[in-house]
Amino acid sequence: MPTLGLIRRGTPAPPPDLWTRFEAQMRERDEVVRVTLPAVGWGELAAVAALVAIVAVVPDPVGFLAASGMF
Amino acid sequence: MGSVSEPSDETLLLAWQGGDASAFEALFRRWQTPLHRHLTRMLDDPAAADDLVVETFLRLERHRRRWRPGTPLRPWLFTIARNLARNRLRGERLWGWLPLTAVREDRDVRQAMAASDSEIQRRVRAAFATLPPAQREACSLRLMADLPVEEIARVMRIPTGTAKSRLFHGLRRLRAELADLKEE
Repeated sequence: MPTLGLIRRGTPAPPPDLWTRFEAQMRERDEVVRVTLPAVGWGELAAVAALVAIVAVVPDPVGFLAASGMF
Repeated sequence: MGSVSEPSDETLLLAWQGGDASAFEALFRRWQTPLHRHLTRMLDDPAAADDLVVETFLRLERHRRRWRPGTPLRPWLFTIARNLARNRLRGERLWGWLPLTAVREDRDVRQAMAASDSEIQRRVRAAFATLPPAQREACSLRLMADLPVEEIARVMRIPTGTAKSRLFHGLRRLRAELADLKEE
């Protein structure tokens, strides 16, 4: 169909740098969305373990923590 | 799109889901021109089409896990583009409520753009402008992106018969509008 050729010729092609723009926006989006959690070390693990142990073993954990000045 | 020697869209999508970043770039480069031409015809604004091509692929990237093997890419891609274009047009209509000076400035920019078009570009643009929006969309999907009628119907969410009818009337009108132009 000759009309098809005409219509395609009469419609501007995209600029050549669209892929570059896409990559730049991807990087930008990644920078915005990325959430970095703080590293968990031995100290943090020991604190969580102690808390879990207190809650599991002590009959009145809130009272215990309050009496020991930690709460 | 996609000849015997080239991997299909679906093969590229699978490779991309498997971690091959170059497969996504190949998809982008394969579809950027048909998408851009289609969006230009939909929005009558090549600069806006630039933005929406990039945004379409950003959305595709974000939702890539939703794609299931065996599902064709094209209707999905053009449906994303369609939704983005409709949102944009809706936004522009809202902008139309701005004071007249702002609207006039926008019109001036468009008129300057039109003046810089080649004669063929101007005629094609004018021919598409004569079509009702639904015919314009169907014709653009067919002529700019080579979508078969079934996929046009799927993208536009209409029965295949309706898509055929819109294409028939739209193409007839385009041919009539451009009848005096000759291929060089």
